[in-house]
Amino acid sequence: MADDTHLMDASELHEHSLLEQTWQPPRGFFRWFTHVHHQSIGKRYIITAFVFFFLGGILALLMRLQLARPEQTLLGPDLYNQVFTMHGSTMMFLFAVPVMEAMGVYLIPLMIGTRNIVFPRLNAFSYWIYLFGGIALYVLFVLNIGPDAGWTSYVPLAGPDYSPGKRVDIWQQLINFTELSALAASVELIVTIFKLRAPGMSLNRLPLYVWSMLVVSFMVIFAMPAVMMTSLFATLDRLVGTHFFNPAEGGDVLLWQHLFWFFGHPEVYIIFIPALGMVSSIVQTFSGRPVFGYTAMVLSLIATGFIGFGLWVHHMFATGLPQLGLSFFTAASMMIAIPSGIQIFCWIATLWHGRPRLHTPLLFVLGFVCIFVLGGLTGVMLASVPLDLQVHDTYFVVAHFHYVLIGGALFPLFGAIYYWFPKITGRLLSERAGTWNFWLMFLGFNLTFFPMHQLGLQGMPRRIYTYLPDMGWSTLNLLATAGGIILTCGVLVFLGNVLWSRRHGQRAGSNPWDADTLEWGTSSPPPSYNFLYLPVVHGREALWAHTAEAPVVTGLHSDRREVLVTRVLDAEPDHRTELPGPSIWPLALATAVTSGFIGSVFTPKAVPVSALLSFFALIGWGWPYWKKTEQEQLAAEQQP
Amino acid sequence: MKSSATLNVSHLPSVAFGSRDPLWWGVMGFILIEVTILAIGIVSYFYLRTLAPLWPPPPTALPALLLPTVNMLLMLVSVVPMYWVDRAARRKERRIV
Repeated sequence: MADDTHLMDASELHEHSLLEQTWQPPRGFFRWFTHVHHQSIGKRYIITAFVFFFLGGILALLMRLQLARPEQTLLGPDLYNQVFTMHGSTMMFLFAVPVMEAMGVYLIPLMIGTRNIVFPRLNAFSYWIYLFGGIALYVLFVLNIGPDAGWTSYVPLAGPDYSPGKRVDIWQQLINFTELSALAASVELIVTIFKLRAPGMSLNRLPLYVWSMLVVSFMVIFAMPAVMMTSLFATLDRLVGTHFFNPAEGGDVLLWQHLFWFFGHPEVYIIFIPALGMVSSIVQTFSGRPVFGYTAMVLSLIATGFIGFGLWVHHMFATGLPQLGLSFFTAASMMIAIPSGIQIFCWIATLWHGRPRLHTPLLFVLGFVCIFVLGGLTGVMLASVPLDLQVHDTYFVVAHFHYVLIGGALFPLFGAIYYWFPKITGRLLSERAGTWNFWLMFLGFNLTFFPMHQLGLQGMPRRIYTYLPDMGWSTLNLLATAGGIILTCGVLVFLGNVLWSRRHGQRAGSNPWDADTLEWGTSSPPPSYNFLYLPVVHGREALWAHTAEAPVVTGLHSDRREVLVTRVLDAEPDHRTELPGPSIWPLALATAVTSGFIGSVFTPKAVPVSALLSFFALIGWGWPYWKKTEQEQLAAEQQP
Repeated sequence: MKSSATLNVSHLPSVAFGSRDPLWWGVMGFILIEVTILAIGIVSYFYLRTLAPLWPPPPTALPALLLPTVNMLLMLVSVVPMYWVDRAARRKERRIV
């Protein structure tokens, strides 16, 4: 293994120093902005997403404190509107989706046995655009221009008549930032998974986590354009006076809801499916046997991806659409419980037949199963139109989607951090702190959100900044706030654990969990070139099937960033290709695009200016350069 | 993971075209995104048109076709140099590429 340089023989040492020279990220402050390796970008992506998670969490805590007692005055109605909008938008657009993409960016190339993501510069661009969007949103929030029409930003409330000022425009631009970044990341993940897999890793040997990222990337491609388009319509309505959503001039307000939820419902699965992949990885490793029903699991993931697009109208049951149409969406909403159920039973079967080791990652997975099943049950309830009409826009819905999202995505994500942290940093997180972290979060979460079911049934609407004492909601709200504080303590334990273990944690070694996927076959943290020799895969559980006689890939040039391209289905070696290196142009292009997104809030002239700047940045990005080695190589290949 | 047996790939070509090349898949991905955007635009158009009693809504005039036509012709013409470069690249003629 590469970290044990003292164990290498002479040829390996030579190879190591060559690869190190080629792949090492450039040093120095200014060159830091030119990094394109998936490990650098992935780590930045994950850290940034968690910073936004903490910011969104602080906003949530502020809301809970405001609602702890009736008629509190901690937040006024106007600030409360901004705070709940910022909380929802941050958690959905700046945390949940990006963090899942970020984990994929870091893990996928290691998991499929290659040296970098296939379009490294696009990857860097995706990160910068996301970072700039998030910073812009928070800077403007501090300047009192934070969006205030909810994370769904429904028209006509968010239209020019009822939301004057710049607040909603900022929200619409945030959509452009985050969706652009997610789309870029999806394309590069799909192509990386399709073309850069280690020889022998045919599609039917793909780890389930990689499958989940593949399905999600396709979902992003079909879902995100809908919200970008509708947010463009809304921007035009507000900025240049079109009437897409203005019924008085032939527009239609429901068009917004249709397009928003055509994105918004798949969005839930875009967050949830990577979490399923993480759960499969963790369950397989900690039960010490292959996941039960691999084929059924893969088909369930794909089925979820398809059915996820047929559910959007169940967010619109209260809009007066025709009954016949609604019943179709009720059926689809109930149908999606089937693939989720199949996966849950497969995990139970895996644990049942394995020898489960109860480390923190598995603890979080068990917490996920409990919470997610509860959230799924209220989901099946909400799929029925009469019940939905009764509890629409109440805290029952708030309880439901927090159970689904926190249970379905955050718990697996925390488990995944505990699981992969040793790979990323080389040190294990503390198990004792991890147990505390889990129980505080699990109890705090249930104490916060379980009472909200009852509050919703008692009629407490969501998005209200306060309530009167004689409504009878006071005790349960106080309970929820107490739960929120416990939940926060859990998250603080996590933060402390990460900061402490990063320096003082127990050293992990290359494979502390005895896991089966390829990323555990290289040192922790992985070297800048990922693998000294690219691996060859002989079974579905790559490392468990690995034998001492298994061959490795040789013959790639180590003095340039060369990777092996394999065929899509069977991963037979096809050709070699050189990946681009560090570059400042992704940052330049991201800056140019940002100037357009932010500038267009204030003047339409920003659009052509930014287009021109982007044009120059793209020329710089694509400027052809030829190195001598490439010319020689090409000349050699031209010889018959 | 070093062992005596190796899978030597040095004989494989360093350039491939069409669906063998990762870039082809990347371009396809972005085409898929653009087509989805276009499809959503078309769906929105017909959604609004179905609901409107008169189309286009009365004060709106149909857009002039001159500039869009010029734009489309320019795009069509740009296919020619792309095709030319592609042919040269497949022949591995560096001078033209």
